[in-house]
Amino acid sequence: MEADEFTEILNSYEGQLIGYACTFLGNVESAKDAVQDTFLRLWNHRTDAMSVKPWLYTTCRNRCIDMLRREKRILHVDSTVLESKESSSPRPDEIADGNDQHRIILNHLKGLSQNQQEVIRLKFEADFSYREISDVTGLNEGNVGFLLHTGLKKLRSAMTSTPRSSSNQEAADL
Amino acid sequence: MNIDNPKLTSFALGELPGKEHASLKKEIAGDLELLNEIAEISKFEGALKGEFRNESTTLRLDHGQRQHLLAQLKPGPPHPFPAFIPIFGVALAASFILAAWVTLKNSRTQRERLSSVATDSERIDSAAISTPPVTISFILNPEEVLASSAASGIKNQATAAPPLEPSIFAKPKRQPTLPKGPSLAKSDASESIPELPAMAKALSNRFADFTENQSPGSYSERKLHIRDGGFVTASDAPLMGLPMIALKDPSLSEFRNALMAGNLPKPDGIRLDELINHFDYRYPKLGSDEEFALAIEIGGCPWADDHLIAKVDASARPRGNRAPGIVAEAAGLQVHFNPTLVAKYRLLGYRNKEGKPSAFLLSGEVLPDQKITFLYEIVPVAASHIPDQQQTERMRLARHAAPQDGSPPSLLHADILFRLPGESSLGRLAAPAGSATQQTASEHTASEDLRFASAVAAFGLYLSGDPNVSSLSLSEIEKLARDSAGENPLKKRREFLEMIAAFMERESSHSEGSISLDPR
Repeated sequence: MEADEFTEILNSYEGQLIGYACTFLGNVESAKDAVQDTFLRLWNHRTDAMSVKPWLYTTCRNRCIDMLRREKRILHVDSTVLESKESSSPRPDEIADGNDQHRIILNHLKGLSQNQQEVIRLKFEADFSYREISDVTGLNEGNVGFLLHTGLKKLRSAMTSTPRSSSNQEAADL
Repeated sequence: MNIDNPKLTSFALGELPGKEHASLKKEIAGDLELLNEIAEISKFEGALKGEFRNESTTLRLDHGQRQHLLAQLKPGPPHPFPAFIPIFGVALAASFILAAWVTLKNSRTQRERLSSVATDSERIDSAAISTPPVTISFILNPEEVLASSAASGIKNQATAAPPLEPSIFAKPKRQPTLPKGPSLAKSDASESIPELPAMAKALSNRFADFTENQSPGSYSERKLHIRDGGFVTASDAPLMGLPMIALKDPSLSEFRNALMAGNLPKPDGIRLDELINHFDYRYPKLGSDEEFALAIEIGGCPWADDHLIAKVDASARPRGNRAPGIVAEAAGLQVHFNPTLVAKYRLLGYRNKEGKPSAFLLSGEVLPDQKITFLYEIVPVAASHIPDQQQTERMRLARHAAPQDGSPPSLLHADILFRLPGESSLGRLAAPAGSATQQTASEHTASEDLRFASAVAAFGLYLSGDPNVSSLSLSEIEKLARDSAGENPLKKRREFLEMIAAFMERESSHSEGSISLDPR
């Protein structure tokens, strides 16, 4: 892999990976840290035989889990810290785009379980097959299909019950 | 086939194997409800992909993160070879080549010397001259070795010294380009690269060895998200972790000597954190049962009318106060900025070293009576400058930040997290509430300590050419320091005042014919 190719990969996947990392970490800044580290590792492994996209997602996922594990060593003793962090740090859908029409579904995505969010991102953002999602997550393909099915059902149901974006609702609340 | 069967979703997404797909296709052919469901799933898939696409175009690594990544793309050996192998290889090759060169040269020099004085009867077979053993010590800078190895520049590698941490004594490799600041030297600055006095050089080696925090993680996890000249957007990163580290305390007199000798630290060479913490302040008193004390004060910013300075002081329990021994095995501060009131902030000093938004950083062992002061420059929210969509976001965040007791909301608050010896859990101490409100922030009501610390910071920023302090002249900084040093300044403060005064005098005496960057 040459520098040009690396830069192209970086430009192509950084946004997707930040969104994906946010599924685990809950805030954009930490997600960026995980993604930056993922790309550093990609460059260090550039001579390895690999399929880049699954490798990026798998590595990013492992980095997020490492970060969570490390933070939890500190956080579990003081949950208020975690709460303040979660409540004050924006998620990608909160800062991504001011145009509500462009984030109607994503506003509801955070209402799903973490593994539902993950497989939905891997399926519809990364465009992975069930098999590839299984490789990245370690879930079997049956589980992937089930999580996608239930996740999509829940999302569609939420969309049906609140057709306008939750951001509009927030504005109304204020 | 039930409409809730996951296979229907798999079918719609094209995930069923060939035979199963064909079979299901036949099964649902006449079922309008199932066909409608499949159409809905496909339609939803399109919408979802569209939203993800929009989102991914707006999520980008920070500029600093991207620059750090791109900086890695230089020629060099990739993984899995550990970095030390090529370095070692180059070092070894360099040592052999240099040893051979030195040996050859010695041999030739001796031959020439001998041959020049030898008579026919004294002529010596040069091959018989035994060459003395040559011992060569190598101190290699791996980055320079790697960078220069591509160009086969071996001769310079052998003498490359290890990189020094920036220090307030850091020797300038080249003269900084200052938008406004002190003059440099009488001679042509582009040609003159002033040397520090020998003592200052020695001190720079000694004091540049900065105490590292003990938290795990790679370099990339420790970097500071520098944006907008060092300012961080509070709504992006409302939380900053800081380790309770023990700072070095370099000698001010040597700093002064270096300045007076016409040297300027390179722009990023000023250790503002060390400079600020060189002085003693009135630290908060410990409660009888507390391991730490923490206080925040807000005041006006001397170099920007619409900015504020926040001074965060932390101190550990002194030795002998209660049980003997070590205060804590590890400790770190968390500073939370209220994004409804703070637009941006920057930590003065600690550049790329310790402070990290959205992180928990714990130091190693905390010393008894250890004290540390963090100084932040804060840009308060100016409503007229904030786009509507950010206003909405800030109002949303305000619901989380508003105090429950009706008191004025704080611009920031801080906690210390610490682990005592033998304990597995962390203790937590919060700074007293209500001290960090904008209502208390005024240059006139700020304590002498805060104003003096601000003056010290202003001087350091001035020397480093920070454009944010360009509104201040050297004499204004001197006045600010003098007015806040106290009626009977302690020794260190007196030294500081004398240093600025001497520096001003030197500046004015060199003003003619010098590169004066200060128009006042």
